[in-house]
Order: sequence, then C-alpha cells, then structure tokens
Amino acid sequence: MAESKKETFMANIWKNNPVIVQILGICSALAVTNNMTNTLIMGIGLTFATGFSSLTISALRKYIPKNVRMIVQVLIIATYVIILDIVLKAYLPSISKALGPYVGLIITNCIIMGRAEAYAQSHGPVLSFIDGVSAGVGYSLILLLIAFIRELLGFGSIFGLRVLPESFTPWVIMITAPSAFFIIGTIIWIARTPLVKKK
Amino acid sequence: MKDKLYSVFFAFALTLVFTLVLASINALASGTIEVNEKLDFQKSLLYVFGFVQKDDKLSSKEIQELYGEKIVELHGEVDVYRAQVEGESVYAFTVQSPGLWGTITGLIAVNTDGTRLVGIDFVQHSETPGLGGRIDEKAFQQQFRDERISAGPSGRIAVVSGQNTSSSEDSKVDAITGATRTSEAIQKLIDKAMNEVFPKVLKVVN
Repeated sequence: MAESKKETFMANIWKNNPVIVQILGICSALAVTNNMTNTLIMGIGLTFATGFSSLTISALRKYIPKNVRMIVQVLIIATYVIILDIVLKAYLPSISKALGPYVGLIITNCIIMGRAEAYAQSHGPVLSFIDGVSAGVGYSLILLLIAFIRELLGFGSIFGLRVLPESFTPWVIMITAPSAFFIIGTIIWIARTPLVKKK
Repeated sequence: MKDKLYSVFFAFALTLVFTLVLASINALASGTIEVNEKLDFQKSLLYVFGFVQKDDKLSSKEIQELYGEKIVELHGEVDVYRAQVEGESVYAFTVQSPGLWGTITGLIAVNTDGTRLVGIDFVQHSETPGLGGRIDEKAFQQQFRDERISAGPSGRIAVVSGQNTSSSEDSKVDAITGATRTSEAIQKLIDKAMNEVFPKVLKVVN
C-alpha cells in the first residue's frame, strides 16, 4: 500500500491508460465518439460508474465470497449504471435521449470490471475510488481527443458549434465507425512509442 | 458446505439490498420522468402540426397552454390528435415500426384525406447516435413538411439517395448518409402509418 493517491491517479491517466495501454473500452470508443457532447456525457457517466463501483467493491471486498465475486461485481456495477440512467432520464431528458442505449451499455464496459478485478479487490476504498475515477478520466480524455478529430472533420463543428467555414466539405468517413479505428490506432501508436522506448 | 451457503446467502442479501435501493430511486424519480415524457410528447405534437419549431425553447407552462388551446384529443381504437392548421383539420397519430436497433415510434400529422404529410417527429428510437440518430435533426424532418403522400401501398414517401428531392410534390426525401438501414426503416414506418394506422384514425374521427 505504498502507492500514493497522486500516483494512483496519474497511472491511469497516462502510464496505464485504459484505452491506449490496456486496450479496454474500445467498443464504446468507436460508438460514441462522432460528436463531443455525447462523448463527454459518456465519459462523465463512466467515471461516475467506475468510481463508485470500485469504492463499493473495495469496501465489501473482505465479505465477498471468492466464488461469487464476479456476480457481485456485475450487480454493483449494474446498480450504479441504472441509477445514472434514471437520473439522466429525470433531469437531463434530452441527453438521455441522445445517448439512447449507450448508457445501459456502460454495464458491459470492460474498464469497470477490469478495475474492479485488478485494483479494487486488493486495495482500500479511498484508493480504489481514486483509481476508478482516474480510469474514467483517462478513458474520457482519449475519447474526447478522438471525438474532437472526428467531429471537426466530420461535421466541421466542436460541441455542436460550427468552427470550420460552410465551404468545408465534411469527411463522411469521420462520422462512420471505421474512422475511429484509424484514429484510435494512430493515437495508440504515437502514445506508446515513448512508453515502449523507456522499457 | 458452510462456504457455499454463505455465498448463496451473501449474493441473495446483496441483491435484495441493491434492488431495494434501485426500486426506491426509481419510485422517487418516476414522477419527474413521466412529466418530462408527457411534456416532450406534447411539444412533439405542437411541432408536427407546425405550431412551434424544433429548436424553440418553451417552458412547460407555455407548452401546456398552447397544447390546451390548439389540440383536441380523440380516444378510440387509436389515439388521434386533431388541430386546425391554416383553416384545415389535421390529424396526428403515433406509429411504431422496427428500426435498426429497436422500435421507432413516430408521430405523424396528415391532412384529412391522407394526401399530404404535415409534419413528422420521432418520439422514441434507439438508432445509432450521429448516424441513424440524425433522424431527430431538423434538417431531416423538415423535408417531410407538406410533402405529398403518394397513393401506392409502398414508398408512400420514398427515402432515397442521390436524387433531386427538393420538390414537395414528388413524394421523395433525401436519406441520411451512413444510415441506409435507418432511412429504409423510416420509409417503412410511413408506409405502415398510411396503410395500417390511418384507416383506423379515420374510423375514430368519423
């Protein structure tokens, strides 16, 4: 337990980033990144769900029987995601409508389960919470970067605000899923080069 | 054996606790959600009749007042909403049809003989955000305003690509790039609305 809170936080942002290093949560990285507003909400949602699931799983870790721990983890994760879904429906109906089925799909986002298994099982609640939140933030940052490129070139806008002139021809490929493959691949390549060299 | 019993007991107790938490949050929020949904639907209705614009920001009071003033609800085999638009009666009704990922619920307003589509909105769908989800956008829906509905049983309003669709007499609108299946689903939804639901609407009205 020598790790400090800051180290735990920073690890997930860069050295151990869930998307570019652990290659987790790729499906949602492809699905929601064609506009930045949806991506941001998805990121906030995931951060909330990962943070609190890690906290809860860590707090209960000494009582959870080993043979049912996965079931329990999914139960806890699903509970937070459904809470999130209800809150969005009640207070941010337009965003809830825009995200549609993706909120529910946070349950199956491998990052949450990954952090629960890899970290929350063996660390205290506070550190686990920080770990969960930072994994969410690391995920959101990469997704926002992808969404920035895709929305800028695909629609000529950022957060729905037009920034490129009307004469700009949108790149249709940026709106469709394949572009996310290219961009995510390029980002992983660029980001990991210094990381690999260090080793 | 004791371990196994503990596992079962633990899983049971935890599920019970979390289900109770969820049930109570749901009960607390369901009122607000229902009000939101109803307002949303009323605004959609005002929009398909052309009384408000898609991006108008209206307070809930404004929506309710305008709704009460303009729209008459008729209940029967199907629910019909009637309003006077430019001196003519217009009927609006909902229709459900499969989309790419799930059911699309459309709200459609047509004139009394079913030859003109006055307005369309999609109150519920789960199409891909940014692709099929763009059926929510004003630019797509605006194409249907006052579009002629052709007489045939299929392609009442054809959703096509690469054709000139600017005339509102040709019963054609432009599809969404990258969302072929959703565009097809919308064409089917309108066919279903006119072939299956509209006759029932007329029964309710007369």
